[in-house]
Amino acid sequence: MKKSPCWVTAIFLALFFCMSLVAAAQPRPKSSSSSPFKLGLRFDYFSRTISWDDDKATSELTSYFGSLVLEYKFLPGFSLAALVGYSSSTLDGLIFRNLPLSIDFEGGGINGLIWGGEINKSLLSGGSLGIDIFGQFLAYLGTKKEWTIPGLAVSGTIEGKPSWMRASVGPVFTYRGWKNFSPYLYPNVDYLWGKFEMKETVETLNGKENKEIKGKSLFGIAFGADFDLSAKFRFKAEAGVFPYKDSVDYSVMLKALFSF
Amino acid sequence: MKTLKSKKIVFLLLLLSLFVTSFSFQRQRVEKGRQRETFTRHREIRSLNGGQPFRLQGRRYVPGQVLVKFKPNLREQSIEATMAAYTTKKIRRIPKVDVYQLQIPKYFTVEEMVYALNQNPDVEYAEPNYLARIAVTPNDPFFQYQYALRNSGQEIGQAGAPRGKAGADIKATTAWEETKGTEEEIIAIIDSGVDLLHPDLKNKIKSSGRDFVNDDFDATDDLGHGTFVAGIAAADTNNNEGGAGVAWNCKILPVKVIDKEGWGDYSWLIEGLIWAADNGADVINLSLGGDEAADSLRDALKYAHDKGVVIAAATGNDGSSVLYPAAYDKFCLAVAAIDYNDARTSWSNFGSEVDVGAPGDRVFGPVPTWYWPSLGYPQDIPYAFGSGTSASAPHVTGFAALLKGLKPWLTVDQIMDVIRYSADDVNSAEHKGKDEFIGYGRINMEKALVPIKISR
Repeated sequence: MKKSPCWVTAIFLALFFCMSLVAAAQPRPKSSSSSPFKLGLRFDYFSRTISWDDDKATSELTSYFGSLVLEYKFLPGFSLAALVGYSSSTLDGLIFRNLPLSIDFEGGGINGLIWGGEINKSLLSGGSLGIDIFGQFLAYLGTKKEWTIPGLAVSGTIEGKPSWMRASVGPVFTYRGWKNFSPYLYPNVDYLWGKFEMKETVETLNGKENKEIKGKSLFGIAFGADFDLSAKFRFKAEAGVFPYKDSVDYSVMLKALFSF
Repeated sequence: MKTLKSKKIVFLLLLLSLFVTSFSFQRQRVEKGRQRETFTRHREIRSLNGGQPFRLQGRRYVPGQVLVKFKPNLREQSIEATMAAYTTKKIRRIPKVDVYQLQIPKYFTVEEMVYALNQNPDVEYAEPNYLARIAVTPNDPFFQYQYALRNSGQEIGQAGAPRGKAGADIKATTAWEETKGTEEEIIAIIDSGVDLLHPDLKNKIKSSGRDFVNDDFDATDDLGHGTFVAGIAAADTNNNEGGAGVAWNCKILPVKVIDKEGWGDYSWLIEGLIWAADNGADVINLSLGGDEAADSLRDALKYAHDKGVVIAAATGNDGSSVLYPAAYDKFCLAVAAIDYNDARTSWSNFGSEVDVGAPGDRVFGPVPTWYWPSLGYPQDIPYAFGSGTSASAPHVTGFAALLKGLKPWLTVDQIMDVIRYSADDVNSAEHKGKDEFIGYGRINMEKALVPIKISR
C-alpha cells in the first residue's frame, strides 16, 4: 500500500457519488443559514514531487491531515476561514550528504501540527455561473523525531524535524444550475516549499543539515463539488492534479461544514 | 514503479478525465550515475619476503646524533653557546618544529648526551635520532586478487592459493559508486620513494616529490616498499594495467625518508612530514615506524595534523606494542592488520592506540619495474603480494582521501572519527566494542561514503 492513492481514490469516489445521490434526494434549501459562522472538519491527502539540492534530485512528499475549520462570512460573497489540525507527512527519499555520515532517509511519516487559512471573494454571482477568487495557505510543523543509525561501531542517532508550507490562489468557476449540487473548477497557482532539519550525533561527531525543498509543480487544477445536504450542512469534495515536466501529482480534499 | 504508474493512470482516468492528462508517468529520482568496473586480466604473481611480514632488526637510533629542541625564547647566540658547551656540532635545523640535529663527540654515548642535555634548563627536550623502519614489503596486483577491495571468497592468487571469506573487505566497489575521488586530493607517501615510471603509477604521480635520504627532489624508490604502498592507496585504476587503488582518482606525492636498506632516521621522517604538509598533501601515509617515542616526531605529526592533513600510520608487525608514530593516536589513525577472513593477524602490533584494522595479509600491489629482474626474475611483471600493517595503512589512507574529497568541510578529527565509527566490529565475538587489536574494527568505506539508509 505504500504510496498507493487507490484507497484514497476509492473513498473519494464513494463519497462523491453518495453525496451526489443524497444531495439530489434533498429538497432545495429554502434559504441558506443566516449565521456568518460555519464550523467543520476537513481531511486532506496529497502527494507532491519535491526537488532539492538545487533541483538536482527529487523525491516525494506525501501528507495526510485532518483539521478543524472555522469559517466566517464578513460580507456577502466574502469569507475567511482558519484551520488547525494534525498531520502525518512523509518525506522519504531525501538524502543528506552534508552530514559527517551521509543519510538516505526513508524514515516514514512524521506527525506534526498543521494550520492555515482560506480566503474567498465572490467576483460574479447570480445566474448559473459563479466566479470566485480563492486563496489558501497551509503550514505544517513536524515534531522532532529520532532514529538510530544502524551498523556503526558506536551508537549514533539522527534527529529530524520537517516543515513545509503551501500557498495557492486562483479563480473558482462554479456551476450553480443544479439542485443542491454545485460542481466547480479551480485552476490555481500553487507553491510548495519547506525544509527538513536533520541533526546527526555519533559519539564526538556532530553535524546538522537543512535540506530546502520545493514542489516541482507550480500549477494545479482541481475539480470538486459542493453538496448542500441541508440548510445547515454542506459537504465539499475536491480532487486536484499538479502537472510538471515529467509527471503529475495529485491531491484529494473532503470537507464538511455546519452552520451555527 | 510499474504498479505505481498503473495506479496513477487509473486514478486519473476515473477522476480527472475532464482535464489535461497527456503527461508521462515516469518518475525519476535524479542521483549520481552508478557504474561498476571489473577487471579480467590474470597473470602469475610472486610473493615477496617468503610471504612474511617485512621486519628489520638492529640498531634503534643513529649513532653519534641527537635531536634537540631548545626553549622557544632562547636567542641564537645562546643556542650556539649551549651547543659549544656540550661540544656538539649542528648538522641542521629542522624549521617549523625548531629541532636541531646535532653531532655529538665520540667520547660520549648518545644516552649520556641525551641525559646531560635534558638537565639543561634551556633545553625543552633532547632525544636520540631514532630509526624508523618499514612495516611491510610490496606485493601483487589485479583486481580479482584484491580481496581487500572486494572479497567474494575468491582465490587470492593462482589455483591453490588461499580463499578469503566473502564480504571480508573494505567495501570499496560500493563506495566507488559514491565517489572515486578527484585529482585535487593529494596523498603523500612518506616511505622509500615511489617508482615514478611504473605503468600503474606514472599517471598518478603529482610530482617527483622530495628525497630526504639523498637530499634532492627525486623520490625514486630504490627499495620497493614505497611503490607497493603507493599502489595500494592510489594505483591507476580502470586503466587495463595492474590492480586498483583505493583512491581511484587521487594523486600521489612521493616523499623519500627510507633508504635502500629499509632504514630511515627520525630527522628525515620529521622533515618528510613537514614537507608533505607544506606541499599540498591532504592525506599522509606512514607505513613505517620506530620503537621509540620522540617529542620531535610527535611535534612534526602535530604540525601536519594541525595543517589539516589526515595521517594513517602502520602499527607494526612484531606482535608487540604499537610503533611510533602510530602510537601518537591523537594526531593519526593507527592501523592494524586483518586478513582475508576478517581475522586479526598474529603479527599485527596491538595496544590502546589502535584505531582501526584494514586488510594486511596477502595484499597485492605494484613493485618497481626493476624489482623482480634484480632478484633474477627478468620476465616477471612488476607486481607482488605482501603482508604487514604497511599494506593495511594505505587502505585507510586512500579511504581518507576519498572522504576528504567528498566532504571537504570535515575537520581532520571528524574524518578520523568517521573512519573509526563506520568500522565493522568484526571481532565482536571475542572483543566487543573498541579493542586493542583492531580498534573499532575493520574499515568500511561503504558506510562512511555511501548514504546510510534509515528505514521506518
